[in-house]
Amino acid sequence: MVVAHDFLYQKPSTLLDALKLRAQYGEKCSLLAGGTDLVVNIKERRISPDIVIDIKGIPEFSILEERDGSIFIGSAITFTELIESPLIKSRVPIIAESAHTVASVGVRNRATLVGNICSAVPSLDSAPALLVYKTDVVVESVDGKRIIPIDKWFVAPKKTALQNNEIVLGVLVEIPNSENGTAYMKLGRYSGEDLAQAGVGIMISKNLEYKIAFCAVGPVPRRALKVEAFLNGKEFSSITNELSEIIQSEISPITDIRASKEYRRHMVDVLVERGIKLALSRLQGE
Amino acid sequence: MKKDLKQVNSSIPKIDGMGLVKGKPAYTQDLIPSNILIVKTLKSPHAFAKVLNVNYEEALKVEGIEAIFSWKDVPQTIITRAGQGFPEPSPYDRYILNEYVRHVGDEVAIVAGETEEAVEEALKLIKVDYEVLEAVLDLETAVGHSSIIHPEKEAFSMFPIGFDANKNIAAAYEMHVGDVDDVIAKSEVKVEGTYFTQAQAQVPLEPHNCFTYVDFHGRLNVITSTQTPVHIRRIMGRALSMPLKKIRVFKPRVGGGFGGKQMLHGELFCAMVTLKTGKAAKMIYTRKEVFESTCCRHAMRFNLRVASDKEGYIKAIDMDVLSDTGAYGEHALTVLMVAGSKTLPLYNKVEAVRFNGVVCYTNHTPAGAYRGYGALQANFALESLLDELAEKLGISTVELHKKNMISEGESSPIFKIMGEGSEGVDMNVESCKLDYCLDRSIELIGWENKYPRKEIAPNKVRGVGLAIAMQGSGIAHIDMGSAILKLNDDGFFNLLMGATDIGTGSDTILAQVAAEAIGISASDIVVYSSDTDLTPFDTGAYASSTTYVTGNAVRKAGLNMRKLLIETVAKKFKVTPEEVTFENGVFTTEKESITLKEFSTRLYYNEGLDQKQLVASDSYVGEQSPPPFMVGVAEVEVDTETGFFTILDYAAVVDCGTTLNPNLAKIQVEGGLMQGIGMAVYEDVVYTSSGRMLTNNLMTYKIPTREDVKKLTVEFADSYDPSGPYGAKSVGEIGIDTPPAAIANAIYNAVGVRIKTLPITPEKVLMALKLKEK
Repeated sequence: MVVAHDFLYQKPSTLLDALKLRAQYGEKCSLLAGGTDLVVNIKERRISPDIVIDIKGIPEFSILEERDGSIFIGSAITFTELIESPLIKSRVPIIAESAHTVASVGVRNRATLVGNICSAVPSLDSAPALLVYKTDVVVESVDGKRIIPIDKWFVAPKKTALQNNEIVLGVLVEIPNSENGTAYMKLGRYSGEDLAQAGVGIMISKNLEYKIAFCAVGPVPRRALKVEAFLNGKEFSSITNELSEIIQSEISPITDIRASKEYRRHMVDVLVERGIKLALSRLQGE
Repeated sequence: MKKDLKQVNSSIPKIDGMGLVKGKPAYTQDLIPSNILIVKTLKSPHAFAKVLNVNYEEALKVEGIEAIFSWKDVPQTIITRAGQGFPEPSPYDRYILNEYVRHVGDEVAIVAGETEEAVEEALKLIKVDYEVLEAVLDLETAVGHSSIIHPEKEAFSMFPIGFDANKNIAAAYEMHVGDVDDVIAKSEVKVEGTYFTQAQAQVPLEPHNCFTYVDFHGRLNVITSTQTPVHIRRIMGRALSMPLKKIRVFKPRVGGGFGGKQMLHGELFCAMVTLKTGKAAKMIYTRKEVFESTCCRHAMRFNLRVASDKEGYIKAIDMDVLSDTGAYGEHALTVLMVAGSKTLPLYNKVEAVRFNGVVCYTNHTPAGAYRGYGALQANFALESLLDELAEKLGISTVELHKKNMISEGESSPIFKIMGEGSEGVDMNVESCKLDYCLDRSIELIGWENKYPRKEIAPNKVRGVGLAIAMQGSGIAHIDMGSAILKLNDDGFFNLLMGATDIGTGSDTILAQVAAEAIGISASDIVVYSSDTDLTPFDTGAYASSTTYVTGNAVRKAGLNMRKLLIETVAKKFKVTPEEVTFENGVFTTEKESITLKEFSTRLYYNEGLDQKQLVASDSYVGEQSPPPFMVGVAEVEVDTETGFFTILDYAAVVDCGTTLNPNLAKIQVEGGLMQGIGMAVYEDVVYTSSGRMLTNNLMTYKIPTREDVKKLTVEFADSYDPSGPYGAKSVGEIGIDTPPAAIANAIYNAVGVRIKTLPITPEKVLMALKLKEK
């Protein structure tokens, strides 16, 4: 099937040119990084942009580097680049771990982490990984720069806090200052390409501070603050009824073609327990 | 017998493999000329509706639009698109377009234009008034529903098939041997159960596509990705009221069919455009159209009863089937009958057996042919229930099978009673190595140490389970295949066949058969298949027929050619044919010798009045349909906390007679296993409550990838069927039959829950485990 929709394609070489085009076309503009969502959306006629702005010609978007205790991941950085980056692996390993579970090799070679969070689908694998760190989304428009904390980024299913004159430059992930163990647990059915039926991101620091975030079990990916509060400072052995009740109060899964809400609820308990155990074993250097 | 074979039973590479791997133009889409009209169809958004009015005035004004047709613009000749032999055992219940639309995705109008954009625009501008009717979406309530899916008076069947449109019944069948109720009542051990098998989509990687043009003779040329060129020609002739001599159907390379391309799909829409405009036209199905608007497997419900004595000798089997044919009755009767005819003979020593089935219409995407063809569905029910019987008897399933399964030289009354659409053919099973297949497959999996279960970690349990299966080799007395062999100068041959290689490798194995018969190398055979203008008759690639039926025809043609060659050489050297030997490409008599290469060139250029073309041909109709057999054994590992399970190993040992090409035979079995595993645990065609298909793309309809299935171990029994070409039986379908039951049985053995509704998902396993705990 061909793309039966005409649009203007622009590949600016400076950020300013891109921002001007973005300001000019607003909601009739689509931004192209990996294109793995965009092309499908255009082909399936879910969107019909007047202009597609390819951001890959702008050097700022291809930066992956450490900046003052944080890691900056530019909007054109692909999942494969994250998986292969020694910096990511050593400092924020859960990002590489979750990147591994996204789609298939071919898609990961093109798709970007920022593109992933811009899709804002409830099942997006990158979200729990970013949520367990202090992560900021850096956006810019012709009017200037804006920082949006990741927990304010996901507004509703498929809706983010991005304004239609803004472009995401990248995300800034703060490197935790204490030793920690992380794990990303994904409930999927296939070894091939598959969407998460539930996803849990976990980070545990040496002083038993827990960070836990979910995807695919509510309208938007989010931190489980009550679960964290309950666990903080405690040694973990297994899920108790009390903890399960708190977990269940933090999620609101639906039944769809991939799984029933009952199954998702059951599985989140299992994923949390197994994820915590895995993160702890990693913390202990196993 | 087998040890003398030189060309067959050898793993030569696929003759078309290298060109295809290199991406050379070969498939229908590769051959489409430029400047051709693009054809698309407007689809019904309703599961069931009457089309009151189609207004396409505005749509016709779109620049580049060439033609638009609604049902009023096309011939209203009732047909079946099933693509079977004639007279078809499927009801005539379908038009090119009709005033009723019977499923979401059913075609309402045909649009042709110069560009895809124009056609898309025109589709949007067509205004259709529908009278939405109450849809029938539940298999269980379809029969006798107040909503009648085929109210048209013209619908009929060519011969009695149980068709009763007023009750939404497309076909029905009943047979029995002995008094089943009485035998069950008197038996010491009884088991029964209800099983559901889902609709499954064939998912050929190449979508359905075709193009049509009228040539300078005024003949309609149809180039299409099909399994059945001669049936396509015949059905198009009827639908379009054209004499068959005005139609040519050509099949290029086909990227998989699995039964989904046995039926007609886009051919009639394209032909309508070409005939009315005089212009070439093409139609390429989107994946969504392949899912919603072609066909899938018949979903079925089985009520099954089995009874035995205390020692485990099965006395009676009672199989009751309800099948969902969707909006049209293509393959309704035959898939139903194969459910019985390709499972019940496995247990041929019963005192009584009954088979009863009804195939109902619903407003789902129509069901059609799909590898396994009913046998797969029934195998799940029967082999699951036999596992329960073994447990109830307190014996192992291996022992139960050994006591009851059919052996070489035996027969079953079912062979004579049940054919495909009509009566079958009596036969003794002249090759049956089920006993070896069973022993070897459990040896391969390590059954002795693993049955029934092993706990390998907290929450991780492994289990093994098995199922046995049979299939057929063509439809006896009905399917006909033929072949023409033509000698060329320089000593090579053309092999012309109507048989349709759809990616299976049949061109390769048939070249091997021809070469074996003539006594030459397969590399000296140029295969051409299939083109209704050039190649001889063949019913097509379905019903596991090509190896056996066409293979026998090719063998006969090859032997005829060998005889002809030797006679011609004898005449040349003025000796008797008995005095001529032909080996390694050289004809030898006591005094003289000549190479085939030299002989053939001389024959066409230098023999004066003796110059002539050598052509040999022959045909074959199966006197019987010898079943291939197999045993499949699965080892699974189940996570009791999540219901997740992994198929660690699947051992399959197959008796398909001689493997004409062992490597291609293995690939056939492996491919079948993959699709069987897909059916068992992954795939499901799901609809909304209003009848819209939710699984209409490859994100929502998941077929397993090679990463999802761990180890497949495929071996073949040493077997030789005297009626087959060099001892071969079919191998195309048998591989798909065992995974549902073998995996269900393995999961039961591992964790004690029996899933009776396919597909077996982790969620179903977990929920069953929780229920069991209570």
